[in-house]
Amino acid sequence: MGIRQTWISGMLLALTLTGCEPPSAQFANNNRVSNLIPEAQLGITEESDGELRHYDGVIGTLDGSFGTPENLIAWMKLPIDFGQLEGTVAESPADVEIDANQFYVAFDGEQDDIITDKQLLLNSGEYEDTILGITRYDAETGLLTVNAEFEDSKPAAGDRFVIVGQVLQYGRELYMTHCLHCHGTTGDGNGPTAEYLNPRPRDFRLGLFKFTSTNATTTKGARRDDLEHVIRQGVPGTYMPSFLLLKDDELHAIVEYVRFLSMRGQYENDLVTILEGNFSEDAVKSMMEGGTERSEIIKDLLATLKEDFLLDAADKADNLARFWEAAEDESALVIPGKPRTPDTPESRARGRQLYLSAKAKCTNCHGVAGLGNGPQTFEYETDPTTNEKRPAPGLHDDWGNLVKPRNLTTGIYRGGRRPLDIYRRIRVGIKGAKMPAFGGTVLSDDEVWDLVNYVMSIPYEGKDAAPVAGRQPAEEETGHSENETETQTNNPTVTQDQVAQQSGSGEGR
Amino acid sequence: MKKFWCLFFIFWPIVAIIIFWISPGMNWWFPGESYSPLGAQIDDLFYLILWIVAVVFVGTQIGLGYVLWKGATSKQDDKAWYSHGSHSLEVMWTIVPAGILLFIALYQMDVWAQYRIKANFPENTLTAPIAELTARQFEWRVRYPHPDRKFKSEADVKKWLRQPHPDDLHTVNDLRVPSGKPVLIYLRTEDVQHSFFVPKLRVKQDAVPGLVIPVWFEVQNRAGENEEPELKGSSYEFLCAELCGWGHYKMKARLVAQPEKEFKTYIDELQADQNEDGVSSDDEQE
Repeated sequence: MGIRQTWISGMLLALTLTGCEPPSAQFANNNRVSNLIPEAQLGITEESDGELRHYDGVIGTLDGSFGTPENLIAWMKLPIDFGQLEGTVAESPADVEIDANQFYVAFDGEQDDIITDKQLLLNSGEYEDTILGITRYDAETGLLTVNAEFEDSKPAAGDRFVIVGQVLQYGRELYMTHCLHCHGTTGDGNGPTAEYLNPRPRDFRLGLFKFTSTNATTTKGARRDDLEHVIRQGVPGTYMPSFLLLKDDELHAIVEYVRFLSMRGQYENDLVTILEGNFSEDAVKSMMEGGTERSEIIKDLLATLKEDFLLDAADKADNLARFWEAAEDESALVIPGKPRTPDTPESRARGRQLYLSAKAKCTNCHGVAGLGNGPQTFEYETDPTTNEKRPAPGLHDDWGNLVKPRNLTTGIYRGGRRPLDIYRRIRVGIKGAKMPAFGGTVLSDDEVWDLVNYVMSIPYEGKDAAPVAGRQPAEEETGHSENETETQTNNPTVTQDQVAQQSGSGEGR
Repeated sequence: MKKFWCLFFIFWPIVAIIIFWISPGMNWWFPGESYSPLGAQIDDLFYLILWIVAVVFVGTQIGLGYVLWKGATSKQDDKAWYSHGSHSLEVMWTIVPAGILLFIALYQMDVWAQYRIKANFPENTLTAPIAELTARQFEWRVRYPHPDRKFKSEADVKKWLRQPHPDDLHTVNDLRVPSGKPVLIYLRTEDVQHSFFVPKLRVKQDAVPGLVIPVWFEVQNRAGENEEPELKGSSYEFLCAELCGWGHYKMKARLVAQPEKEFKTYIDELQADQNEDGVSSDDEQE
């Protein structure tokens, strides 16, 4: 073998081996961050009395509160179940030899979370306030191995400790397995496969989720239940598949991590908003054109970072916590005021009239035939961030993506197909998208149910798709009045035609 | 050195045979027992072919070893010589394998016909489908007909398959069937080619765009390790066995076989859930 061959095969071997090292994961910054001047992004280091002090900008503050994917921070201010395990250091059995970095522990209550790689904080005894990294835990014996060696004395039996963040970290691991390649490490909807998907994967950073059950006037947030529902059931008509087989604790951990990413994104936006007015590249440029020295501006920024920025950031964090707590509040949950109106031809006809009416304005987007081709889809919208007309006609969501109003004839309902789901789509709207929320004053419960009945009948209009004649067991169980069950026994094929005729003549086509 | 290579080539077949011999006992890669009657027959075919292959493998390896050893220990210093081969030998090694293949082809026809030919399907399964199973990137969507819906003929079923009905019941990644009797599902795909594979039942069928393919199977009442009390039945993993895109590995779902009564209860519950209006069922709970 010549030198060249040896060299080439050596390189090939090196190449195969280098691929084995996993790249370190990092949170990406929002584009808006780069609009700020570098000092506002990275902070300023000041020298006073011979000491160097660093005042964090947006990036430092954000990372200080949320950490990095490999070193997450449990910021207790936020309403997230980070996971918290408490326990006591236990007596070592006399006949067992253990290493200098090992001791026995007993947890309060049951403990089956994975705690390897988590951090443990001792909060009583000789080593109070010491943080240790857990490298191994033997659940059977309770033997804990940590990353520090105790030379003289180990934590004494009876010392209390706490482990925080194991749920969040478990969520991160699961997120990396199941969600990352579409939703991205940062939750920005920009994973490796995202580019090929239409509609785009959700960007969590606005804190908005489309299919929620929370009252749109009191909160724009989503409940844990809403996220769980989407993860379990998937979103038909999109690339979001169902993850039904996830276990309950896995699902919970993923939901908490998604909320964590969402809050991180919102907080990032908040921090940029605080500084954007005075310290964006554009603002600084125009100030300098007005005759202000750059050094003056930097001085000003330093003063802001020292005090006002921190106060404003704390305010924003409080708001953020309230935003998510409000969604979990029982009062935010939208529940119909009365049971569904029986699905009669009359109800559908009333629904159709409403659908066409100026009151509900459904046709503006969904079109007269429900094909999702209403006149609004041909309008050029104004981009709220730039105040310029969008390049393409049609509706855009808050993420700036072109979205189509749902084609109601396909029978595919992204937010779920139960009458309750359709009711909520009308009452709650689709957050972040153009589907408005028809709150209690615009449409009454009866009207919404009529609309639901009509919308659910659209895919079968004029088609030979008669439901089975006879009473439906579910209707029996719910104990509706006799009148209602009677209408169920009508021959629905005929009634559908009637609806079609009525609406046809009503419209004068 | 000659002997070294000779022993080297004899060593590996022996290792292979030992590994094969112990693997069923070690539960390595052999399929566990089948949970469907037809699956047991498919297993019989598998083991028959395995035995044939084992005999051929051992025979050829012994032959190879013998020839190598003879050559390695030969004292003669002969040059290689050219041969036209043996006509009778060639006829033999063509006809014998052909005969074996023909035997396998004929022997398996019965099982194949039971599984794949509509005329041999268990009675009444074609007109009483449990569900329509639609594969899509990357999940399985299930549509059950209304429990009261009775199909008169296959044409009637086809009509139902062509057009969704308002009283259909929908789930995702969770296919329920009654156990202890033959059941039939109609398999289709919404996008690319997928494959419906239930390893423990030995059921595997491609879902081909444009086709609606009937697949029947029977899950035995004996649940064993698959018993899941929470689901009131036995649970079997099913997955996509045809690389269908980047999310292929996500297409994992469960098939739950339940006794007839529990299955009916499940369908009723599903129906109640499908008609959920957020108010009526709350009253029920109270």
